[in-house]
Order: sequence, then structure tokens, then C-alpha cells
Amino acid sequence: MTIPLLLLRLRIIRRIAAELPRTEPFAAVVILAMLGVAQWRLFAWTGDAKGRWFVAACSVAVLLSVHAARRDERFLRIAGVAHRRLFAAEYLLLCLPFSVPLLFSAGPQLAAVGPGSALLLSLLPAGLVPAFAAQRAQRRSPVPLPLPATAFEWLAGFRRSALALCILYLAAALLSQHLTVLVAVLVLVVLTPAAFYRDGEGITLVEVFALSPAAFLRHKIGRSVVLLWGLAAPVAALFALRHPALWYIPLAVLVPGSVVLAGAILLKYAFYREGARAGIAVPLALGAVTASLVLPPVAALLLHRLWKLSVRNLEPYLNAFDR
Amino acid sequence: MLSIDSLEVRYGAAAVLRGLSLELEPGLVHGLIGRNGEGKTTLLDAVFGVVHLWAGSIHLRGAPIRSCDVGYLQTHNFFYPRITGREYLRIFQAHHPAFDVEAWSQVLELPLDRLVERYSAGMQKKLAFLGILGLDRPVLLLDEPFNGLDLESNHLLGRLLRMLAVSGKTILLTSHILESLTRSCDRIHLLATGAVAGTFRPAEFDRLDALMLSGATGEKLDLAHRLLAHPEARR
Repeated sequence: MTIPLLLLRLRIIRRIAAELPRTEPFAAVVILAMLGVAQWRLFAWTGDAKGRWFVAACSVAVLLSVHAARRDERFLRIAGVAHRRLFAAEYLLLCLPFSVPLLFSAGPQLAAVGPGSALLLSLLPAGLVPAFAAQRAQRRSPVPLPLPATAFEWLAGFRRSALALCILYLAAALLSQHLTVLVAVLVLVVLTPAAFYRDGEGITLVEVFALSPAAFLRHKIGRSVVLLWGLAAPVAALFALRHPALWYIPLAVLVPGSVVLAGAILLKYAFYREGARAGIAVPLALGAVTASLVLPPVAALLLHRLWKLSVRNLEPYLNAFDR
Repeated sequence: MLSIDSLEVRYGAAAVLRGLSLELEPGLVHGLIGRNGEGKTTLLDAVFGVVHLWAGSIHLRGAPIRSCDVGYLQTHNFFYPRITGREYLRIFQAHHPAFDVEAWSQVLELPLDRLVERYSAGMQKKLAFLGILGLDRPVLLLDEPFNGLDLESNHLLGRLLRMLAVSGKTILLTSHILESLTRSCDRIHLLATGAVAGTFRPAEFDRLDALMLSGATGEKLDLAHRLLAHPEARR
């Protein structure tokens, strides 16, 4: 049963590799380039002693994170599969990109770190991260947030990024005398909400607004920009207190930040499919929107194009509303 | 009255609905039954307006139907991650203030302060149904509304649908479980080969069971019996 399952997984990977260039060619090129660069860097790092240890540590870290995040142990047990053997086989394949360069440069001892960890990890319980997250979520109800119900992306986004935002605010409060820290915090706070729009909602949550596609987009963008400025207000206030002569910096961050957020919303609805999360093309395109801010006319053209795409994509769901 | 006239829907070369005509009176609960792939969900999608009509028309009270006339509960319900049931229902309340979130959640026993992704399948179905109710639209399309519901909720939903029909809504629901339909519906429409093969009143519901089973059911059961007795028969 282990070999057929392993072959099935390899077939799935082969299928994805075959389909991705057809469905998302841009993403396929980027992924391929990233994998190529990563493999080249792994070979390069094994050139010196310190780098070899780093590569060996990376192999352990990758296997550890895969083992901790996997969710299929229970299913495999129920299906009567020798899951530990399957895990070991998968991890041995997974550590090859690390072990092969190590074998050529450092000899068998360091190269054996990956396979050794693979065998060891396969004996330990898997999926601790999702199990812990599920247990935590069962224990407590989420904290109610003082936000309008219709800004559900913000409710969800705040819950997901609460810790990161708290750390950022704390850093801003404690290190406000350092201009660089304050600017970095402001940039991060302003860019965070773009990630709030990566999940897809059901049709009901789109048409509950009873607005035409253009009005719907105007409402979403207007509301989110107001909330963005509210989110950045504490950091901007610190700026005004600590560095009053540089009052224009918060504006210089917030205005492009608002454009990026509008771009994120337009991207979401330009590729909206009911309940579907944003594909890899969306963060890449959002990166393109952010980069295009260097040339404002390009950014304006890009947003205009996205607006048209979003309106067209929402048309079937919202064509009945003329407001 | 919701009138569907000579409806034709195709996916590529495959015709799913072929000249389907149906009249749905308000004040009645209409059920739709048919084998897998006969076009039940396609019909609901067509009424909601998310599939292209090759031919035919759909009118509500004499005017072409619009999606804002329809509340559509789909088979698979999508919410938004990391929001609670209360937050989900308040979205509907923001647009229809008369919608009483607390009272309705008591009726269907929903733990409103829990994250929606932690709800069971039945709870998610009930939450999605309440959302549709919150839209307060004259036509309700319910695709497999009984899926995942426990016995009491099943019974409760059936009664609720009757009350909604009495209040003037036009209701069309599908189910694979004939018993759920016969208990809640005033009319059941049998869908076969992309058209309505017959409409049945409560007195005729007994006939549906036999009509739903294809002539080949006996042969299939025989084959299954042989396979269980002699697994090598499969070869």
C-alpha cells in the first residue's frame, strides 16, 4: 500500500507540474525560477564548512515543518496504510535536494543528517500544529471587535494578524525616537490589510450589499481605505509627536498604501470565484501593483484595467442591482 | 407565480436542460427530484441567473426574474474564515434591520459566538439558511437544504418552509431523500432527461418511489449480490 500511495502522490505532483504552465503560466515561471535559485543556492552554500551545516539544518527544518503541519495521519491510519513507512519514504525524497549537494561536498556524515531526521520524524506523531490550532479554537470564542459587520474581511484579518499588529504597535511606541523604525512600522501596518482580502466569500456575501458591481467596488474600497487610515492613525500620531518636521512622511506612506489596498480589492474581485482563496497569481499581481507605484501612470492604468475586469467578473452576480 | 418556459441550458456540447417548462405557484412548497446529473442544480442556477440560458425564459409575476428576487441556498455553503455565526448574520441585519438574529438563532439552536469554520456541516447549513432568510426575497431556492441536519432540525426546517410558503414565498427545493420532500412539499416535480417528467400532488407521492428506481436497479442488485458472494466475479 505504501508504494501505490507514494506513486499516487508523485502522480499528483506531475499533474500539477503539467497543468500549472497551462492554467497559470506566469506563476509556473516564477515557481520554477524560485526552485532553481533555491537549488543553486543550496549547492553554493555547501562550498564552505559553515554553509554545509546550514544546509543540513535547513533539511531538518523543512522536514520538521512538513511533519508538524501535515493533516493526513488520522486518515492514513483509518485507511489501514502503514503511515510511518509512507512518511519515511516521502521525507527521504524530500531531503534529497539537501542531501545530494552535501554528499558531493561534505561527504556522507553531513549528508546523512536529512535521511536520519526523516526516519526519526516518521516515528513521531504528526500534525501537531493543526491539532494545537484546532484545540485552541475549540477552547475559546473569538474576541468581539468594534467593527461594522459588513467589514468581515477586517474582522477576519484582525484576528489573523492580531499578534503581528500588536508587536508593530509596541515597537512603534517603544522605539518612536528612531525615525527608521517608525517608518518601517508604518509601511508594514499600511501593507498588512492588503492580505485581509485573500479569502473568497460566498455569493450571498457579495449580493447582500444589493449594489451594482461598480457601486459594490466603490463601497468596498472606500470603507477599507477609511479603516486603513484608522489602523495607521496611532503610528501617524506618534510620528506627529516625535518628528513634527517630517509630517509629510505618514502621508507619503498612506497614499500609496491606499492604492495598494484598492489594488488588492480589485484583484480579489477581478479573479473572484465563489469561496475560492486567491491563487498564486494574485499576490504576484499585487506585487506588480506595488512596484508600479514607482511610475504613477502605470499604476493608474493597471488599476483601471483591474477595475474593468472586476466589474465584468461581478456582473453575473450583481446585474440585478442598479444602485 | 414563477413561470419557467422552454428552458434550455448547455455546458459545451452537452444539453442539461432541454425545453424545461414549469409553473411554481406562491404559497406552496415545491420539491424537485431526479437522478444525479438530471439538471436539478442547473435549474436552480438558471433561476438565480448564474448560468447562460440558450433558450427559454423565466418570469416572476409577469416580469423577467432578477437575482435580487431570489434567495439561493446552495449545496455547498461558503462563508468567510475567522468570523463568528453572529458576525455572519449581522451582515444581513445591516441591510435588513428587521431580521432578528438572536431570535432566529434560538429557533435553530446555533452557537453564535463560535467561529463558523468550527460549526458542524448541519450547523453551517442552518446558518446559511438563516442568511438567506435574512435577505427576505420572494423566491427561495434551496439545494439539498436537509443535508447534514439532525432529525429535529430536519423536522423543524420542513415546518419552517411551510410557514414561509404560507407567508407568500415561492419555494423550490431539491433533495436526494424522497422522504424529506414528501414530508415538506405540496408539489413534487420529477426531472428526467432535462425536462419535467411529471408533477405530483401529495396523494400521488407514493408513486414516486417506483418511478425514481430505474428499470436496471434489479440487475445492479443482482450483480452486487454476485460480487459479494464471489468477489472473483468482478473479473
